Amino acid sequence: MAIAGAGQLNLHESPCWGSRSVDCFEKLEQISEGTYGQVYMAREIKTGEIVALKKIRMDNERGFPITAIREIKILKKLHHENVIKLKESVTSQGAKDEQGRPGKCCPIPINNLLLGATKYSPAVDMWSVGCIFAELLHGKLIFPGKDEPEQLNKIFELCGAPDEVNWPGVSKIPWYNNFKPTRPMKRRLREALGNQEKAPATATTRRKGQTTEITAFTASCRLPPIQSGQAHAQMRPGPNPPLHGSQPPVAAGPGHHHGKPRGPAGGPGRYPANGTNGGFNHQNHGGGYSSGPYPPQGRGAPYGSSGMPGAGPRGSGGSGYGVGAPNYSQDGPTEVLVLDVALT
Amino acid sequence: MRRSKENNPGSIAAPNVQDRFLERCTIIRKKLQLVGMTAMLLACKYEEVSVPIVEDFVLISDKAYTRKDVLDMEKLMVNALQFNMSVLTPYVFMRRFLKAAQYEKKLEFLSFFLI
Repeated sequence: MAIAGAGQLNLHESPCWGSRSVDCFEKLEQISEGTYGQVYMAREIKTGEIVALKKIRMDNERGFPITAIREIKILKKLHHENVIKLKESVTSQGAKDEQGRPGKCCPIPINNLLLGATKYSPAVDMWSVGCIFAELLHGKLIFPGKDEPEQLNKIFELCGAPDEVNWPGVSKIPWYNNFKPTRPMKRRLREALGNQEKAPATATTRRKGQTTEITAFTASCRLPPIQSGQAHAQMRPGPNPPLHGSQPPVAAGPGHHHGKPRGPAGGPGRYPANGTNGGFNHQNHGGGYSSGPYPPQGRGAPYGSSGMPGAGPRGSGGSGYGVGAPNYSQDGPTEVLVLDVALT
Repeated sequence: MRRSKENNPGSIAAPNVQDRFLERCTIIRKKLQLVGMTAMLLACKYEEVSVPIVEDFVLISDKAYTRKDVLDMEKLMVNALQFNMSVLTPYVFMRRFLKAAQYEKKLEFLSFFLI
């Protein structure tokens, strides 16, 4: 069969990959522990270089986890100052399999799927993206549930409980009645994410801007469509009065669908209260979403009509929710990632 | 490799994984079947939704190899291939063309038999 010849695919490879043992490194301390393994700070014995060592846990049933294969492959190809460099992968022998904490939850909770909905649509992915943004901002899992009911509860606590008002059709989703919260809960996402001050001071003002942005982002996607055809309509801001009340619905232009859900929430001046309009956008040019899906031209007019004070020209800063926050101090061992393939 | 190829992109990608590995590494003849099995395991992981477990492969080899053999070979292969598992296979094109041709089952079976 006609398949790409091997030589055509992997042209630039270093021959030493995977040939060294983890014994070349001296573990200094454990930095963190994720779902798939632990991360250590380590020193390469020969050079004294400080690296991060991520240990991949082998799945006894299925061998090398596919997520790890993808992670390694992608990390190898990424070269960017804000993305950790994958320096090398090393192997280790022997039974070093430390079982991770059982019951650790998937970091990407999916609201309507947890309720038993079977329709999968772009809004579900948008929800996941919102969660990831919020986690980047928060610095830890935002919905750390041990199991599904607990996770749902965490979601309701933070985002408010869904009902027919803010999520038309929710009562028809299979398990809604089983998991319906017993007491009414208010949405307090903005309070939860907006008040933490753990980030370096350099990023604080920009972070404030981001907080609201991301909060809005999560909110606008919180109500996933029941029918996939409605995806765009529902992902557009609108059904959430506290955040989008003053926002007129956006005329659905011919733009592609990634652009639409986020359209109006961007722009400096959308959140005049925080007073950081000038601050939070600079440095984000060209990063993340700032420049991609929202071309400055031709999009300005409809958003300007929302009557925000100080709504500057749309093109000046993009929509400004690039999450990069490139100013986080990076004196930790963030330069290199060495993967430790533990075989059991 | 003679599994049904329709709805099974893994079995189409597997020979490619195997070939690319053998191009890089010399192995003894006794282990050739192990390479084939492991290539299938890796390709299925990459291409398919549900993946056969290692034990299945041990069984289809009539226990010629152990689980450890498979996992060791898997490690050797991902490193030899530099974690490049994804290949463009005829499967992708065939699915597209069949759809464009508004295919019937018979045509689908024939097509996947041929590639």
